[in-house]
Amino acid sequence: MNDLRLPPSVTAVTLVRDRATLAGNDQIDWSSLGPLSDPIDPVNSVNTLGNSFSTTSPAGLELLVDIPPAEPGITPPFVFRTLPAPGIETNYATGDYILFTGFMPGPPPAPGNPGPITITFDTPVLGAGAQLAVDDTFEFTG
Amino acid sequence: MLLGSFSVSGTSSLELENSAIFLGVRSDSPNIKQLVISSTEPDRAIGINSLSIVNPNITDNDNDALFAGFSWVLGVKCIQCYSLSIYEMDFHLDKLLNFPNATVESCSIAISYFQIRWLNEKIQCPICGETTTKLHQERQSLIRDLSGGELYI
Repeated sequence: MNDLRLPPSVTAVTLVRDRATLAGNDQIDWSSLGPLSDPIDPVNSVNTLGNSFSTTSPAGLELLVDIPPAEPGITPPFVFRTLPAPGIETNYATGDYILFTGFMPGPPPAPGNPGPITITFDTPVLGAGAQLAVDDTFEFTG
Repeated sequence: MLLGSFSVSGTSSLELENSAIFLGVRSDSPNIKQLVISSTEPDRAIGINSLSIVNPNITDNDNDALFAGFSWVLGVKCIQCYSLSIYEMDFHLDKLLNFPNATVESCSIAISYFQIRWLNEKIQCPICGETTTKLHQERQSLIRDLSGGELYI
């Protein structure tokens, strides 16, 4: 006799390619982590982050961010802002605050901390996403 | 348990055109505990902008309570401190919020966000006292307990 039981339910996790489609109802703006670093001179900036830190969303969701330690000479992670000044040019939107894994200041292409950026939610969520770019690299796969 | 893994081609540039790729995941149940974001480049730094979250603990009722809760408000500052801009928009949220000389350009109930423009042609900076007509800065502010004036439902 054939087994007619239904298969166990499978949770579908799908890729979302734009922020509007994700339809988030909460967010982490990295500027909330405190004073920004100077992206031109992060070594002399006191505003770098640790390799592991926690933060809380406006709605009270706690999350932990982990970025592995980098090789000597590469800065700790930090947050900077894109233009307008004193921000720098990127291909994010004007005025975006960027959580950056850290790099070795110098002429491009600069060696940097490739991450990954691991974000662990205190309470599981339905979805999440952000825009990603790679320093001094015109084409990549994320 | 790994729920999924996705790869997308992206580009980086200095064009400020918002072309950075968006990488997001969405599940049909609240089971996403961790995100791991990386690139194929072995020795280049990566960066992400604001993290949007679909938080299952925010209910429709939370969003309906917008005027009693908190809202993100985009303000503008002048070249020294505060600001101006000339925009007009017929929108009844203007009357609900009842901010003097301000109009709501857009809003998102989902993330409790209002984008506001001041209607003043010029403004006297409350800090330095100078009059200015130049926009200097835009920023987000977290505002709690918006009154909404006298509202009856």
